[in-house]
Amino acid sequence: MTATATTGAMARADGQEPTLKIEGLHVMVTSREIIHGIDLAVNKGEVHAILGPNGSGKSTLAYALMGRPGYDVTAGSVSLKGQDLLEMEVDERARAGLFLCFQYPTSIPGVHMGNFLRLSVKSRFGDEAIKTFRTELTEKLRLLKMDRSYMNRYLNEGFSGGEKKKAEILQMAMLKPEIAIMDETDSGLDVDAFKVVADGVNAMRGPDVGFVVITHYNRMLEYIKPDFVHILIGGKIAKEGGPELALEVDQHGYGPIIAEMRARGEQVELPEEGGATYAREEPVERHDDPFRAHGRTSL
Amino acid sequence: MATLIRSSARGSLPGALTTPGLSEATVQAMGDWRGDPDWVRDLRLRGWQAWESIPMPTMSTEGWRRSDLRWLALDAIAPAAPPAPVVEGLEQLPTELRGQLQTDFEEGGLIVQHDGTAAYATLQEALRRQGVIFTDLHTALHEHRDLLARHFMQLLPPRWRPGMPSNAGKFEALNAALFNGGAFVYVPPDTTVTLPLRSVLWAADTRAGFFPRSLIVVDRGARLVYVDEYRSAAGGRGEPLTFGSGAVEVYVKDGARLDYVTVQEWSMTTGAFLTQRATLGNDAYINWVLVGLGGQYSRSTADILLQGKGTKADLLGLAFGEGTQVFDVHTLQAHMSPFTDSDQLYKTGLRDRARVAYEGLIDIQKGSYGSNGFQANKNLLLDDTAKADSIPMLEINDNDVRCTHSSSVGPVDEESVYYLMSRGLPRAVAERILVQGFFEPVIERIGVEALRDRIRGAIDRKIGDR
Repeated sequence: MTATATTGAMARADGQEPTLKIEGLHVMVTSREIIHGIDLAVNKGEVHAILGPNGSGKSTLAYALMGRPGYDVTAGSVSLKGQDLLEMEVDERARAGLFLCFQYPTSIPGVHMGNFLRLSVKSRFGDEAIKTFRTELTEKLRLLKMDRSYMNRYLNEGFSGGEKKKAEILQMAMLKPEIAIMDETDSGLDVDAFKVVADGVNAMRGPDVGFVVITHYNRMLEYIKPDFVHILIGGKIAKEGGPELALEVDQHGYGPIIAEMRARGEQVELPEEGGATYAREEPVERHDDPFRAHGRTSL
Repeated sequence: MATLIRSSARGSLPGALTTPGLSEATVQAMGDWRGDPDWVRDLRLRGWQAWESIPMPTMSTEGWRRSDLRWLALDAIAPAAPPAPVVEGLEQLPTELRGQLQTDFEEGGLIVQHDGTAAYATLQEALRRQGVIFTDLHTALHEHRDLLARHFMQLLPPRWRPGMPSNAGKFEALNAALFNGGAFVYVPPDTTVTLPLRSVLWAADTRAGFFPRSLIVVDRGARLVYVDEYRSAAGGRGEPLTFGSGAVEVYVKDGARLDYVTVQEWSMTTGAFLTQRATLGNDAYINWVLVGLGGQYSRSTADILLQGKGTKADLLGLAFGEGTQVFDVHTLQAHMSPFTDSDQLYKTGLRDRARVAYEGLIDIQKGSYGSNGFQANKNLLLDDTAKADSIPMLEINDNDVRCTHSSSVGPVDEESVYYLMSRGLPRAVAERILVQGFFEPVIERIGVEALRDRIRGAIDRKIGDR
């Protein structure tokens, strides 16, 4: 649908299917189309950055891939290791090796971090994996400079912004995904937390995992060097290239790229121009306990 | 630990007590059989008078609007069951009871009663030497007369006067008239009982009424952990529900602390009332957890009277209903002195067609300035057919107080389900751990770790395979 000169899935040199393959993806959120046809191919061992201004559809892409209710794929296809991702339930996607590092992780009071991690690892790798669970956990906690006491805390409940992001990275490290999507993981982090998170991701980099790093801020990419950069504007991939593209955006902003799109005769829908906001693009952070809709949060 | 009790059964049960139907004559017969002192017989008769005078509550009676008592078949109820034998070891208890008796926690003392008869009782020698008393109520009425006279039926007295509303004390009065079994605990001043004392009250005869009455006295500066369990045998299909009405009076005196856990695990063929009232002295503290799992119909009334200055109460509760279970829950936090704090959290999970009706009152009385009263009731509905009614109430009659109350009713949070599923947990597992997590803040307040695990397990079984 958007077969322009600069977009299109990158084929592997060996001709094999990429680990994650997105073709012609359209996504609707509350009866409004946010993603207007995206092609993207990610192989294990690669780091892809998706850059774009606020409201360009970056988080919508992440949610659609992770099967969030309300994010409806209306056209296109997505495959993970050759399997039809869109046919899978959310938990099946996770067990197949897809991971989403949430921008706003949900707080779940009453569920201990430790038990939850154990159950997740068991779901993904089976009962055998529990044997090495403790040793691995200790190692990952050390890497992320997290105290073991996190395991006795309720999942994300009362965590600071930095703690939540570290907890996401910890889950990612324990679940060893083959494709990891990081949705604005840099947002709301102070310099120290940011560094710990970036170190955690870099430690995971390797031939077994492909990353999709979503950000609207180049700082992230200074620490996590991408192999490929995709610029997402108005729900379309506007430009693709290597790491130099991120620098270009950093220096000149998105203006020149939008101008190029328009010169190609493409319709570019920008939130500022349309006056519309992209519904649910950036959900409000939930501080409340889902079971304690009112009143106190602790006794 | 050796078993302590002499059989409190005084000969075989007279015919008046095994024949269905309740009357003043059965009350007299109960007093005779139990060998009550005169003052206790008098209390029984006053109980009977109150029972007869207070009109039977109906669904238009305040406080009973959601209490459907059509299951109640008073004519079919025998006043008592024949006494059970005293046993030397837990392994001699009936199989059905043994199956329910958790044995993996260490107690400072244990009383197991079988249809009102103390079947087995122990108390650590060290505690006895410190003056701790833990025995069945009937033994206590004979052997600890002074203590009993000062406390017994003082907090929940049988009384009725013309014009008294019918929501007051009907079933408590019946218990006063026919009480049979129950425990008495006394912890002397400045004595700390660290290992829990535990009472297991078991109703085996499904056709007999079950009327346990317990008294807990934690004297000045003393500390006690007490576990109070209610159980009953499963009855036959189509038979009337096994009927019970229990009462517990609790005194936490100046500077004392009580960690109290009430575990209601009646069989699913039981309809029962349990009224518990605690009074707190100056600077006293109670941490009370109510666990409701069993019963076809169960009405739980838990009152806390904050009578002393600077006293503090935490009341936590959980109930999980399945099938057509009905939980009828009534709580009172009565602030009667300055600088008193109460905090309540009651959580219910319901599946199938189960129901809960919760009514909680914070009553800030005149003269209780500087007090804080909080109350929250949360209900989790796992099926559309389950139903929760929540009525939190506030009555404030003094200034400079802080009160909040809140309630919520709803299904499992989909946002949370999604988050858990995104980590690979199937929906059923995600929902299960969310339900478990919902109760966790209450379970964690249970002062006995082994008991916490058992309650977790019991809830897990009730969630079932969904």
